[in-house]
Parts: sequence; C-alpha cells; structure tokens
Amino acid sequence: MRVLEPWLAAPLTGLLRESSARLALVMTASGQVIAQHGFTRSLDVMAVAALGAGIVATTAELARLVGSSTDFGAVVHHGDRQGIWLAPFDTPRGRWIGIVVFGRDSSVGLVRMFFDRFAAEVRDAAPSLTPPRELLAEGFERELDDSLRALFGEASR
Amino acid sequence: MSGSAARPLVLTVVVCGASRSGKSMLLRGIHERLGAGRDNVGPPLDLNAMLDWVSLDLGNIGGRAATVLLYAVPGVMTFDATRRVLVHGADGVIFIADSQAARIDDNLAAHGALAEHLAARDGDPIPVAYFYSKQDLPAELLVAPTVLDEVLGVGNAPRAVGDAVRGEGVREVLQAALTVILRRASGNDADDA
Repeated sequence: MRVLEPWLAAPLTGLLRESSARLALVMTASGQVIAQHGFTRSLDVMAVAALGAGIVATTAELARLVGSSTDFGAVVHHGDRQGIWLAPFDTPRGRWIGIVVFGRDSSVGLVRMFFDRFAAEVRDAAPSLTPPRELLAEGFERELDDSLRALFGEASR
Repeated sequence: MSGSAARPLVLTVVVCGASRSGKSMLLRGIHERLGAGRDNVGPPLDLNAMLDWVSLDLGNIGGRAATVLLYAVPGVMTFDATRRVLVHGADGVIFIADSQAARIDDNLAAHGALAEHLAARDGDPIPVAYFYSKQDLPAELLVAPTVLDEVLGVGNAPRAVGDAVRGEGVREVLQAALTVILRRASGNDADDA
C-alpha cells in the first residue's frame, strides 16, 4: 500500500481487509492519486486514475443530461471473475474518487458497505484545514531552469 | 497541489486549446525529446483522444521534490465534462493557440470555453501560460504573435512561440508556466498581490 498522506492508511487498510478487495485506488476528482494498494506499475496507477476520473466526470454529465438532480453515485462492473466499484465521495479536501477491484471472494454488497464506511472514516479523519502555503527556497527559478535544461538536454546557463 | 517541507510538490498542469491546435503533439514532443524509458518521464497514455498525460520529475526545486503532471484535454466538446473536472483540479493551464490565421475563430472559441471554466472555478485564479504553436508553417499562413496576444487578451501572462513537432519553444513555455505556477502554489507570489 502507498499513501500520500499517512492518516489515510488506517481507513484504507480497513476497507481492504473487510471487503477482501484486490486493488484499491483513491484519487482526487482530477485524477491525482492519493493512495493505492495492489498496483505494481506507476503506469497502471496513472492509467486507472485517468480513466476513473473520466468515467466519474462522464457519468455526472450523463446524470445532468437526463435530468437527475444528483449524481448517479457508484459505477459498478461485475464480471465473471472480478468486479469493479467506482464511486466519488466528498471529503473536507474536496471530492475524491475510490476504485475497488474485487474477486469472487467478495461481493458488490460487501464492497459497498465497507466503501461507505471508508468514506465516512476519511471524512472524519481528513484534516479540514487548507494546507498552508510554504515558500520555496530562494532561487527556485534557477533550479527550475537547470532542471528543465537538463531534462531537455540543453547546457545550463 | 499537495506538499509540505517533507512532502513532494505535485503540480497538475492542464494543456488546453482548440481541436488540432497541437496539445497532444506538445506532450508527445516532450516525451520524445526527454526520451522514452527514462525514469523521470512517465510514458504518455493514448486513450483514443480521451486524454494524454506526461509526468516530469523535476528533482529538487526550492527545497522540495517537484513533480509536474501534464494533461492534454481534448478540444472536442464531447469531453467537456472531463475538461471541466481537470481544469477545476489544475494548478495551472497552458493554452495552446494555433498560429494559423484560419484558426483564429477556433482559438477564440476554445479560449472562451477555458475562461468560462476558470470563472466557475472555486478559489484563487490559477495561472494561464500561452504557447503559439505551428510556427514552422509558411509565414503567409500565420498571424503575428502580437496579434494573437491582442486577440486572446494575453496581457502580462507568460507566453512562448514555437513548433511542438520540432520541440521549439517547448522548454520555454514549460519554464514560463511552471515559474508562475510554482510561485502561486508555494505562496511566493504573495508579494505580487
């Protein structure tokens, strides 16, 4: 498991343990990954995050087009061998999205129940304050210039 | 943005512009120039025009490990919802304007849509940098950068001209955009307010 912020570890561990999920991903509505479990390659994580954010956005827009006053909520795919649960939830940090992949040893109902609990725990545990802006060290522009020139194979000035 | 003194600084930059203005080409050009397979450059996604993505590990910037996630948002209106979400979650925007005279109306429409999205965004305004693409085309097809400045109302916003296919101006627009985005995201722009 990898978490960007340590306080997320406990709720996510609970979700994984109780729902028997194989993979889990937590991200912002824009697709920025906050926590993940089970993915072995960064490309997989980013691809799933991008696709998940797109699905949630598209589903919300579809709900709006058909006149729904609220989002459709969760999107579920239940295949023969595994299922996918994809749902947005609100936190003090804004709207986040959870993706849970589960196998035959779990079920949609189980995932739903523990996902709802997970979302509630995240809401309770999330620091509500906006992180204070922290000044970058003086001269960061020069470091940015050096870094980009190095990445692009150009000589530093 | 996320980060603290010990945490990484992760910036999301959305690349917007009219359809076929060079957004995906810019990202693919960055990826090719930086070299596929390098550890600090994530491979781009080709999701059948859903969106393209490149990550850049900038290393230590101002005492923090900085990573930039660049997303190219499709210009077609079908993906308006995706675009809206990405813009709302972005730390900054690079707007690609097609330098061809025949595309001025398309640029204006895309710029107007971006302005609407940014106006609907909660919180402080986010920086927008401009890249005037396709400067490799014959001069008779192009409008002068100063004309695009005026048409788009660029003002003092950072901008660069170039050619995404050959990579000209790409580093410059990235640097201009990231400088203002980093200033805002880290609070170093407080003195400018």
